[in-house]
Amino acid sequence: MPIDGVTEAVLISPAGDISLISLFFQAHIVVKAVILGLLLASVWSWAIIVDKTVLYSRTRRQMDRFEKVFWSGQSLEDLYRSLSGRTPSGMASIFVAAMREWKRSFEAGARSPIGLQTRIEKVLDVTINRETDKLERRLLFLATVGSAGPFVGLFGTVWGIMSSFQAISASKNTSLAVVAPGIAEALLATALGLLAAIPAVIAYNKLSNEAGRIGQRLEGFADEFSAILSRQIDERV
Amino acid sequence: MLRPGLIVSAIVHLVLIGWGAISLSAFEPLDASDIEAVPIEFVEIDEISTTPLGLKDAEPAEENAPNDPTEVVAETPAPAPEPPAEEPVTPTPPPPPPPPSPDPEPLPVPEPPEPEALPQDAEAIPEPPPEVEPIPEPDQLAEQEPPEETPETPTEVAAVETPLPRARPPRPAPAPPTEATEFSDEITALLDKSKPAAAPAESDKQATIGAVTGSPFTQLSQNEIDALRARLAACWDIPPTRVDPVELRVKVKVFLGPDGQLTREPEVVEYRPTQIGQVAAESAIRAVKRCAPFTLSPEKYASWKEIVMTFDPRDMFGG
Repeated sequence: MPIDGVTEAVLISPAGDISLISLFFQAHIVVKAVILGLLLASVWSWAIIVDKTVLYSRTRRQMDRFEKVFWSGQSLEDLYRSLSGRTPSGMASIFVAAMREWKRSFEAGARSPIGLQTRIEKVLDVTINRETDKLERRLLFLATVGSAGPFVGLFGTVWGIMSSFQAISASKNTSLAVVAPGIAEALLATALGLLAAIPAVIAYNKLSNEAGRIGQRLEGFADEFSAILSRQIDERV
Repeated sequence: MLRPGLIVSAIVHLVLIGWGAISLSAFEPLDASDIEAVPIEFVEIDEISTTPLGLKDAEPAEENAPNDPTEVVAETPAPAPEPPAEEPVTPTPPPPPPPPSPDPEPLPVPEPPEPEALPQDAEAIPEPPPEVEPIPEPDQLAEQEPPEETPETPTEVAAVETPLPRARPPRPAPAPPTEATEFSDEITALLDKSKPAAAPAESDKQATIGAVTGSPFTQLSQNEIDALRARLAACWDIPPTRVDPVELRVKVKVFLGPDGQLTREPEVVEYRPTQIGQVAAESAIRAVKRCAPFTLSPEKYASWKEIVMTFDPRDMFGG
């Protein structure tokens, strides 16, 4: 009877179970690590994609709203007062930073218009850099996944095929039933690598383009605002 | 700050993996359609390639039985196939060489050289050109004999005395009373063994493994021809001369019944018109008579009903 059980087990569960989960659990430890790493990379890059998409659309909405308010002829003091209470972002943060520097300089009684202009420009630059950095942060991760993901997957595939060839040579059996699961599990790594890399590349291109546009818009606003402030300085002095 | 994106991404990935695990868990096995199995059989070398007619699922007919009686016949390298028709071969002890008879009988004048080539038709039952009936039954043969005879051949009608079987039985006619009765027992056993493989429709033919559309064996294979030649060589006593062996070259036309017996006196078709040539021709005719009955496969009877045997010392004895 035990012999019957053994042969039955051998016959029923050959190595040909190729569902995704069983493929993963049959895989070599290196292939497992590669698959897990690629899965994590995919999760993380999609998190970045979602986050950045939401952030950019929100930033664009805020800029639109702010520009509308800014060019509506409202007093800059009122605008500054309404905005300085909360942590601004985007264009508002640039405006708030410049206004703060302006007010501080006047409160301190500074009378050098050149120094004031220089300080305001510096503050604007710093704020623009900070905002752009916030926009573009983690985009490089997408670029990395996009370029390195296929290679990582290929590494897993090569390793898996290597180990499956070793298994073939050990079992001295070249039938497809022996070869196929190992190769399938190896190819799973490449598939995951591509699965992670393709959206990452596409999203990187799209998001970095968008971040560039937002940054240009911020710089444009900063230049305009700095021109306004410079006019104000000339009038005051 | 990345938390909502991370949560969304993780949830989507988990859903995708779960969906993949469920829906892709069982790949449908590829539908490998059965290819029609082509039975392979090693057949003897033939001049034309013919697939034997038979049933696809039948056992291969035992064509190369180990105790093939043709082994007795000669030193042919390959055993002659088609045991069903084999009659027990009596290993004829070589009789003393006939002395060159001083008064040669009037030899049958050689006919105008008939086409000696065996029928090459690819039809199902090719027939030798002059003949019409594929299976001459005894009475038909007797009727046909007189018109067949060319007027200048002084051969007596010796055909009717051969016990012709009725309908081409796979089993040969009862063996002539020789000492090979145990042989015939073995052959009977062989035949009985191969009988269950016979096609039901063609009970007289033994079905062998082969394609359904194959053509029956219609021509003597090279092995059979070699076996026949070796057997004739054993029966032939070459006139002991020292002349050029070309002088001894004789072509004899032999008329055979379905059981391998001679139906008529053999005719000398070609010989050297010298004295030694005449002697060789007579010895060739004696060899044919001594060797009869011939054991050839009955399915190919149409091809050996009339057969031209060439007696050439160089061919037969490697000289």
